[in-house]
Amino acid sequence: MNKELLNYGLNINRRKFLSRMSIGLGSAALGSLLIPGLFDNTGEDEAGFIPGVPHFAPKAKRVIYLFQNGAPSQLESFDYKPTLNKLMGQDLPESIRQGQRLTGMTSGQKSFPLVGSYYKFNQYGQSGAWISEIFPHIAKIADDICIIRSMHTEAINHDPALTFFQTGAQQGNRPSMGAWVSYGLGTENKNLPAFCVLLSRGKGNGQGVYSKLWSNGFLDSIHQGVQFSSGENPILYLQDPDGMDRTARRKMLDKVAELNELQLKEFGDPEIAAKIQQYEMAYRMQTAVPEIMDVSKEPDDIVKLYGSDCLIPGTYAANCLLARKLSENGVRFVQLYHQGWDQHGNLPNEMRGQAKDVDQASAALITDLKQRGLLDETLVIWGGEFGRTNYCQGAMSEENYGRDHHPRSFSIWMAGGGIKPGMVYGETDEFGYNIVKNPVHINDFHATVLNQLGFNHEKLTYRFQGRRYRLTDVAGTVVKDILA
Amino acid sequence: MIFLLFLVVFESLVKIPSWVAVGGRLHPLLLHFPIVLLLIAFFISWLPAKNKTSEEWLALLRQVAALSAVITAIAGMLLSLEDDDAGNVLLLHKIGGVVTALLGYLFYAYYELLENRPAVKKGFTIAGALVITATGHWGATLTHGENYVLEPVYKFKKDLPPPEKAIVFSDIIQPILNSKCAACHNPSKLKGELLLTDADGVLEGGKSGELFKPGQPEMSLLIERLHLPLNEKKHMPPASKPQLTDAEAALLYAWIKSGAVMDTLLFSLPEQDTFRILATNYLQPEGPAAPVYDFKAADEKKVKELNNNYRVIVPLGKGSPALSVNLYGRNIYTSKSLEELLPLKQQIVELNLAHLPVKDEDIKTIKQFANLEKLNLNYTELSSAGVEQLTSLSKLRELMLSGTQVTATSLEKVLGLDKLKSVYIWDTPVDSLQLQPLKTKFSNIRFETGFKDDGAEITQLSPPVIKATQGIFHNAKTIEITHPFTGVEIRYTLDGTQPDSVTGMIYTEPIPIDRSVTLKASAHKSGWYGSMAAQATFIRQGFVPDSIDYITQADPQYHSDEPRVLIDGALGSFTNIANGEWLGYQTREAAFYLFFNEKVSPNEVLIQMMKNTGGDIFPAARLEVWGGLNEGHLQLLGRKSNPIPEKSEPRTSFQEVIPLSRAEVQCLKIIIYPVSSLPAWNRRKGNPAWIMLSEVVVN
Repeated sequence: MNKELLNYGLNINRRKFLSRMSIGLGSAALGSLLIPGLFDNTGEDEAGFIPGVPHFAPKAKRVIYLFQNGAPSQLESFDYKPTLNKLMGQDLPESIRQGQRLTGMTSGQKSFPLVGSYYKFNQYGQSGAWISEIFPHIAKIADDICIIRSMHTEAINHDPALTFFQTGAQQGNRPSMGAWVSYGLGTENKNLPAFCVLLSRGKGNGQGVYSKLWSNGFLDSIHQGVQFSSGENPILYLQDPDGMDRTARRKMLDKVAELNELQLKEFGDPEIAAKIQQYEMAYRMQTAVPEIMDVSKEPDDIVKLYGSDCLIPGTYAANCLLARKLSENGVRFVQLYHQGWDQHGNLPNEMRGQAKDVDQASAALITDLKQRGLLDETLVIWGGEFGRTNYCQGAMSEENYGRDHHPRSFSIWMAGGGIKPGMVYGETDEFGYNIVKNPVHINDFHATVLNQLGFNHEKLTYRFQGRRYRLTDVAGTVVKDILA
Repeated sequence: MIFLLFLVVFESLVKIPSWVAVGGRLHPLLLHFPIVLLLIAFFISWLPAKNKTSEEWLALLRQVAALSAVITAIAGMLLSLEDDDAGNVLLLHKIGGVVTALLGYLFYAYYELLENRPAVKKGFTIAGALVITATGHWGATLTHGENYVLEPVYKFKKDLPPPEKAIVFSDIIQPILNSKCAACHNPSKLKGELLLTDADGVLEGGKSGELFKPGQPEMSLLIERLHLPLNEKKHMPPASKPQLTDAEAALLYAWIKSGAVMDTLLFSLPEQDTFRILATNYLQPEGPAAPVYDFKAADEKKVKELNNNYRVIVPLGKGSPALSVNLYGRNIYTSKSLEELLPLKQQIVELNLAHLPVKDEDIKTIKQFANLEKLNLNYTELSSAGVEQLTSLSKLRELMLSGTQVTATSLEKVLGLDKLKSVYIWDTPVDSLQLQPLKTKFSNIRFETGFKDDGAEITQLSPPVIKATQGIFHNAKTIEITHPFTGVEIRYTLDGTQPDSVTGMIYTEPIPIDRSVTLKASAHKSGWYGSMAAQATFIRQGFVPDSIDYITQADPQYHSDEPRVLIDGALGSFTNIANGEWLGYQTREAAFYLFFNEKVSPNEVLIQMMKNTGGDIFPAARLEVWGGLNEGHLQLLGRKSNPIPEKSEPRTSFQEVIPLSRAEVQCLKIIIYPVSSLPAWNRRKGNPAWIMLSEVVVN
């Protein structure tokens, strides 16, 4: 035991020595060799990065990500393909499919009959964006949003695709977008976590979401997403235990902090410092969170705007309203997941229900942010992890069909946060299968989001296990065309 | 040495075979030897000689140095033969090289003569060192281009011009050519007779003709050479030299495409011009132009000191002197929270006070933040009079007043502010009628009035929330019903009928109950459709059995370690039916005794059961309740039989109620028979069905 402790101590001392050295004067010259631009104020590296200060004045200060988990079909929402209705039932030409891999669910299928949207489309707003009839409220805000129809990803199954979207890598060990934003921008309100997660579930075929999606990865654990639940205690273990009042709590925390400070001095482990901060924040959250969760003071117009579902905790509408309140109170990244968008079959029926769940509240969130003057500084993102095939999975009829996973093209939309409103970006071929104009890869999407938050995605880095990591890894280009 | 001189004299006449060229190419490697060796030899000759032995080594050093200088010079001459052009620098370098070799040879061969004349020797070595330095410098200029050494310093000192001021050629194209091409195509080297260091040279082109055809990048030599494969000899810049970045190559392409204009302002090109867009991005690699502020940054220490858990002060961006301030915490806020910010009054450009009890008297502090551009006063307690005082904030661009008591008259006073672009007045007393003239008068300002419910769309309310957990209770309890929406009327019934906006009782306070009820409650409000009913069942337990004794055991799959599970007062949940809250029987009936210490006269027995026909869980076929003073003396008190369901039914839990004939008992025996043979429509027809029970209540 003693030996282990000694080893640990030596280890820590070596680490301390190395970290001290890297900021010491003697190694400054060496540092400047390793890190070009250390002395010339061009901020080429993380050494010039101060957590909490963006590289340049950001357009967006906060993000609300309305993740439609399960992958809503682009062909029934924002990517209008009348050709598919004309060619209904015909086989997808190989010249279009070009050997695209299939999921295990359709790989046994003998034919790939094209299927057009069951729902009607119409053009809306100045931009003339085509939007499906199952999203009447989003259609009304067409001029506030930028629809990207040319998203593409690398993964073909839910978990890797979702993980890719959330963390920039398909394997789940990297920090989530929200964690990066928390790391980069720091917290705006020290009484709430910088990164909050809200879950809701629709009636459609669902896919799981796991806490790895809001993980801090190798970043400091204060950047981890905090999940709010819909029950009586939105944040578990936040309330005082029975019989403990605020004064007693305060005293206890002070004592614990003292002990932790001692440990911190001795071992210098930054996780101890994080722990102290977390206790303190939890204490302040005890007042801040109930205030946020209380929707009873919202004016009638707000309930009308979001729909009265917003009063039922755990619904998508309630989460949208909560997202607005959290964001308004300085939460940097509010991550929503709405499950149930995986329509392999029974699409016409299920998707209408899913759309009904989210349509009004999604649009309401944009309107609500706008009327408070917050839309300009809040980036709202709506979309799933990939698209759906233009051909039918399983049995097909006019009224009933399904669609499999399609990574090559899909649609998302963004609003606010310095993104051009009333724009439709990118284009797919008439089969809605391949992108023909302005493709946007997940890395590009991440680069663009970070850009709006004031970061050069190539320079928001964190050194871990001997190399610098980025949300965009080694790729990504800011999609400048959609910036306002 | 003689060979070297031969080369110098007959240079123009010599054509070299290819194997000799290899020797020439070793020049860049060899050249390091003479430089170092000669300099050491020169240097040592200055030191006082200590003893004779080292003198022999020194002689050897001079010899090797001289030899290496000569070989290097020969290699250099050979290398220069390969190059068909001649620049001034090359000529200088050649002369320098030959002189160096000559000096090295003299220093070795005639050292004895020099040694006796210290002054001459010193002069000789200094001159030699200077020649070496100069020659080396010229050589480096040849390979790396001019200003190679000092380039990093120049590069960072020279600011890229802002895009709106940039001249196309001199500020965008020339710097690219300078950094990547001018090393060879400069007045001193002039490779391919091409000069790329000024506009005239670029327009003139070189040996291979003109560089580009305006508007036709595909036909332009410049673009062709850039995009040839890297191993192609004609690829430019040569593979060994730094290549153009993608952005630079794209810029040159777009420049030619859009007409290769020269002395034009970038921003005089059309806004959609590709070159203009690319060049704008190129000149602003760090994203959009940050607003420029003429005030100084605040003292960092002061900023840090004023930052606390409820007041967050951050710079707009890295290096920006401007600050953005957010205040939080309704209960913490006081006027002082604002006053303390006065030391930063110059720097604060954004201030967010939303939802704080900011009052009119705080305006006098806010007014001092003269550089404020964005002020969020949403849902503060300002009165109209307070808002009027904001007129001195001359830089204000955005003003958020949503949810305040601002009136149209006061609003009009602030709208005169020059810079004001957006005003947010949702949820204020300003109505659309009052707003119309303001919109006309201040047409440059965007008024955001947001969503107002005009009653056009009527939607359904959400149901109320019944706060009590449904299930079994003893004697009496009160039930609370809430609705998160203020102004909602809750109506309820206790008899299982549907309440609506006229029937049912109006909920005013928690409902006391002392019997089993099914509570249904709905919410109503004008302008809304009434909600669906929320429903909960409460079962009163009159007589709690003191013990239970099982006659038959539950199937091991669905059993419980706790024998009192059927009389524990808790209904089983649905999440997992194998969680020990449910007892399952299939192959035989469920039978058990309930014992009471005192004599009781129950009216009914109620059994909580489950039905899930898909999982072969059916209602019981038959239920019997026997009673008496002990298990030896029992009589049948009640019985019930159920028809077998005729089709598949969804999963629910329900209560079987068995009325009892009146008797004084201390023991009840309950027997529940499963359906013995599943009906024909079931997949496992003929097999016995399951029964699942979670609770028995005696009333």
